[in-house]
Amino acid sequence: MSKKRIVSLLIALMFIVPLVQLPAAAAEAEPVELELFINHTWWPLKTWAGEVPEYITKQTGVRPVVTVAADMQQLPLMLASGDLPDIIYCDNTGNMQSRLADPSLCWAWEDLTAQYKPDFQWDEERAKLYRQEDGKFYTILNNYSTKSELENSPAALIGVGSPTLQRGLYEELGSPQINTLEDYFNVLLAAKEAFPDKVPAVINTNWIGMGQTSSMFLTQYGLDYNGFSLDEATDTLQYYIYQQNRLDYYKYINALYRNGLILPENFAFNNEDESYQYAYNLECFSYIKGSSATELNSKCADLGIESDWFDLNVALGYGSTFKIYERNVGWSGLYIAKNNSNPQKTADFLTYLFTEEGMRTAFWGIEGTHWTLHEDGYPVFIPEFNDPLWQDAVGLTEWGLLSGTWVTERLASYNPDDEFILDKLRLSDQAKENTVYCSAVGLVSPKADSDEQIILTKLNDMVKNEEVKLFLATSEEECEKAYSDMLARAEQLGVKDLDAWANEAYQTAKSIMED
Amino acid sequence: MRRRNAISRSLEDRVLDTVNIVLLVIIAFITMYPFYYILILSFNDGGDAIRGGIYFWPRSFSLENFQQFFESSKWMRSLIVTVARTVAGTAIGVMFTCVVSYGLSKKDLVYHGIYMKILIIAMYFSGGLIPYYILLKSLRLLNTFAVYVIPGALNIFFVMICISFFRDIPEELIESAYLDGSTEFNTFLKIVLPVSLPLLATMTLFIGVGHWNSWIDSAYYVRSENLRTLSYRMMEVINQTMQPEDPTARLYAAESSRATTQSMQMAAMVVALGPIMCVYPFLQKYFAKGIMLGAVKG
Repeated sequence: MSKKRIVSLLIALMFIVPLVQLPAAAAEAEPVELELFINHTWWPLKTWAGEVPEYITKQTGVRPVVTVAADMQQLPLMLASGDLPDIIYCDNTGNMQSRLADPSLCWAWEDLTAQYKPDFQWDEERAKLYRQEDGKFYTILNNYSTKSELENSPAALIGVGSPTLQRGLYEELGSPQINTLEDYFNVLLAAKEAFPDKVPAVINTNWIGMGQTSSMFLTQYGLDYNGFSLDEATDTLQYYIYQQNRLDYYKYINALYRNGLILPENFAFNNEDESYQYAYNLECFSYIKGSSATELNSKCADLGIESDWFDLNVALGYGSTFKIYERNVGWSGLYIAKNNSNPQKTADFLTYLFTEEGMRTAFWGIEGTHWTLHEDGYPVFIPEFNDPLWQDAVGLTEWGLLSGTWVTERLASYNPDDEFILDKLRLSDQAKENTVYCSAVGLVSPKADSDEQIILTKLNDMVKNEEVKLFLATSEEECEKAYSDMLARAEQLGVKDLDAWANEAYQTAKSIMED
Repeated sequence: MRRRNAISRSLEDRVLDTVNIVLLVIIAFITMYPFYYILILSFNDGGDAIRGGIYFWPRSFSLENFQQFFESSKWMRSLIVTVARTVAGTAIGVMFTCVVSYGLSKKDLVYHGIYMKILIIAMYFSGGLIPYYILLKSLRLLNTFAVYVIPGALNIFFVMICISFFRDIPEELIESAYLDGSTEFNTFLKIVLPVSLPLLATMTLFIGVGHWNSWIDSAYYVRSENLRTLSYRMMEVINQTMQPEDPTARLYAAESSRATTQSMQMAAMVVALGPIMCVYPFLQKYFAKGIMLGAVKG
């Protein structure tokens, strides 16, 4: 063969080989774009970008196009006009979960996977909680773990919030023992007298009472924040304001107010910056957000202010009769619209998120790159993991909320090198010992537009308005009277009928849990 | 009885004037202070602003907020979209409204009465948000730039004003144009519009401000991040700090917060308010005169 022919052949091969490879390259085609609508206006991750989301895209072939809700009317508008995005992620605000669990609107997950991913099996212990009247489930909510999962994950700590104090001022008072809510109250009184220029306590706006689950005091009293609470003695449900110790909680907050230990305007702050100002300027003795010393000291350092905030790390309300009634069955979930543009890829994406690998990747990052698994079953993260800027850059951690369990979430917070880890372990163990798992109560939720839902909405609105009177009552007697008035109003609104319905629904929910 | 000099003022007049002035100053202060507060916060360092206690001037002067704003592709893109929709939407709105109004101002227009009835009904009654959304969807306007300018092209309120105004233009002026061989459209462009400058200025201002401030269309009818407007972005930062209804979600909202600093929000507000506040004084004379045009005779 002449040299000319050899060269021509080589040149021809140079063109042919890439063409031959093209079909393989085409197989690694561009990821499919699916609309992902996040019905949470506060959602911080606006785009599917970063090392972790790209890794998930590589695994699933799906790149979600993220839209975060502008307000809570947007999804109802899309729903009413029949223009749902491919995938919706929402909680039950406006009964959206109840409305979306509709075969004409959304795919039942087992139908979706039966058709497009037949080899995938859903965890029935999880799926059974969300089955609707037609026997199918349209979502699996995040943030739920079964009792056995919790028991098998000792490193999944239950966070127990406690007040944050200024160490220097606390030591000036003689470092008094604070083991109970009464001790804390007395220390605030002493602080008020000793430091008249300081506000004794400022409560973070997102953590104040009035139905806030995160309210440290609600938790310390073992109280529920909404819905129905369990009377363990009679194994019946009642609307949450009837829960035992609820009046004690109201009287405690009222006493803080009446004794000038919290500011009246604390109840009127619109966002948490207004409460943070007191902490950053060291104008308060105690800040209540639930163990926020690290955050406060870090921010004060950024502002050039020397601070010595420390967390009490004491479960103030944990007496001999204290109980936590754990009703959690998750709070937000994914729904797949019936008019989904690509059910096959959606099934791939969904099933990946609900594997252990998918949950951990979305929450913790890429195994081997961002974390490795300790032999005791918790992740060991790279040092950058706790840097919010780094998390933003790689696309962590909120995508883990799409499917992650409570255990996955809590393990992400476990740091054995934390200087307060022993305190946190102690508090978590105390909390677990005092926890009564009653997920069946969490399953009791009225359907959208039902009579029970109407009563519940009216009751919730009434409580929101009436609770202010309890907190701002001018005497303990007035507080007690306001509580009685609130209960009387609840009866007028039909709370007894609601409780009757709830107890029926509870029996059904219990049978589901026991199956 | 003592005669009052026409020039000298009595004690009662002085007292009344003083009370008036004091009250007006207080009201002006109450009205203007929030804008002033936004301005000084926008020029204050973000971290320092969190500490509060800023009332009359920046405690830690900084241009960083504006720098961050103009360096942020997200904010700049929304500013460009807002400017584009304001310019395009205003031009289309004004021209469309004028053309329709001119046609309806002709009393010999066939089915004139029916057109007017349709307009008046449309002005007072609306199908609601959901039918409107479905209409936009069927017209394939959702998630496009056109959704900002096409649906609002005809401003019925101004159609009514324009009709009255155009009817007041001397018929002889228009007839003389016809006699010179001018077409209808040419007459409209070269005779009618030039004498309608006050009206055009008023409409430009109203429609322009409407486009500049509008955020609902950006929130509900658009999903692409590249089409978001400045007003939407400001609603977004406000919503980021709003507490969710669900208590558990509230916990995550608090923990996940990457809220834009308050001073950065203020810088965005200054940028959003600035152009309108600069343009308004120059068009105010037209605004006061133009809004009454045709209103009485309509």
